[in-house]
Amino acid sequence: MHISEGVLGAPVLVAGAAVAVAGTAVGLKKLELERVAQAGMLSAAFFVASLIHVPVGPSSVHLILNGIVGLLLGWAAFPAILTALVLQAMMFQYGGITTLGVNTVIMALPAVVCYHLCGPFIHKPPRIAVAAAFACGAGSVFLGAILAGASLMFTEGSFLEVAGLIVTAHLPVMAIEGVITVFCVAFLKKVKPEMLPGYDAAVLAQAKN
Amino acid sequence: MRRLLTGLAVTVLYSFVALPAAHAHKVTIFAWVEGDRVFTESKFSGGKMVKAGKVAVFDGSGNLLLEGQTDDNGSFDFKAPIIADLKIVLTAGMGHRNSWLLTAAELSEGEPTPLATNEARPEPASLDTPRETAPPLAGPGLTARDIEAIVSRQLEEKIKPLVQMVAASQEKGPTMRDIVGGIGYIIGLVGLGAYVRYRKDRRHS
Repeated sequence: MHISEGVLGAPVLVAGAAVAVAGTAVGLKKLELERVAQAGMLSAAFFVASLIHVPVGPSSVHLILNGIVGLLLGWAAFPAILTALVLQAMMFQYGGITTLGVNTVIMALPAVVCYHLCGPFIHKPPRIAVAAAFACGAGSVFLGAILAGASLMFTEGSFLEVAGLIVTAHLPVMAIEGVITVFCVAFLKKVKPEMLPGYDAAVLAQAKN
Repeated sequence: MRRLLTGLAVTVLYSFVALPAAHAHKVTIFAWVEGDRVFTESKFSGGKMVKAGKVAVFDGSGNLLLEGQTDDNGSFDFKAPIIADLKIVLTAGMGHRNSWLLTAAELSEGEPTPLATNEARPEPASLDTPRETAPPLAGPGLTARDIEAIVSRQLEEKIKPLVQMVAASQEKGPTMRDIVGGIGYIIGLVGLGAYVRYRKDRRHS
């Protein structure tokens, strides 16, 4: 999911960088002081997650964890993921400095989307919550693969072909991240439910009932 | 449901066990010269070979000279089309790409070997035994060019393992130092963020 330097054309790079800057600005604005440490921890988790590999056929893919980062951080996923990507590019030479913006969008935008789509269902009854958590983990990888395909289609031919290839390669990752997200949500619900999105609303709703 | 969960748990565990297997977010290509041929080796970081990766060779001004595909061992070799700086670009799909610059100096060093052994030999045809078996006491009959050719060929042979070692060291995965260092950066940034915010808070209060 890390796109290397020199693969993409300038328009895609610039567009990616612009979206990444905007997202990061929104994320930083929405990041309250109390959650800076949390954002840092999730950034670190994201940074390390890419070292866990899942062999798939001729290639192999790695965990991304953008779903859980998005679910717990919302818009703050942008700065958290950007930070982790800068460090991955510097330390591991994954991706690259010029593709930083595009790579941030590929991984952080799905995180924010899934936060808004799945977040509201996390405090619902267990069955729905589990489904929402799984959808969040798997969906953010899926959307990331689609975005990666979209940014590659200008240089590597048809969108369907490239996106199909990336999605197929990431199917195991989707399953694994879905499960990880389910377990994380279940654990946090027991231990620290206020970390999950929509907690106040859920408490209010419960108080009303 | 239970079986499904067990299956998923096994998958997750497997993915953790398979950790050092192969990475796929970085590819490397390494090229070296032997005689007049250029050999390349392409790997994903972690050591998995790039199969059917596209290799393109460009000259200094960016003109495409030739193209090819890596075989199952990630290697691809070609005869150097010109003696000039060559940029060898590997595209391994899904946005993976890397390049290697082969300088004209490297190429011209490799070049004279086959020329010297095949054409520029002053010995008579009757002495046309393979060079490897030629007795060393043939010393006085050799020209400086012959000696140069022999030395450079022998050197190439001897250097081969070294070249391969360098190739292997090109795609070392992230080390513990990188990982801990990265986490350290993040902790530092969190501290910096907290400091800035608290300072702002204190100034306001």
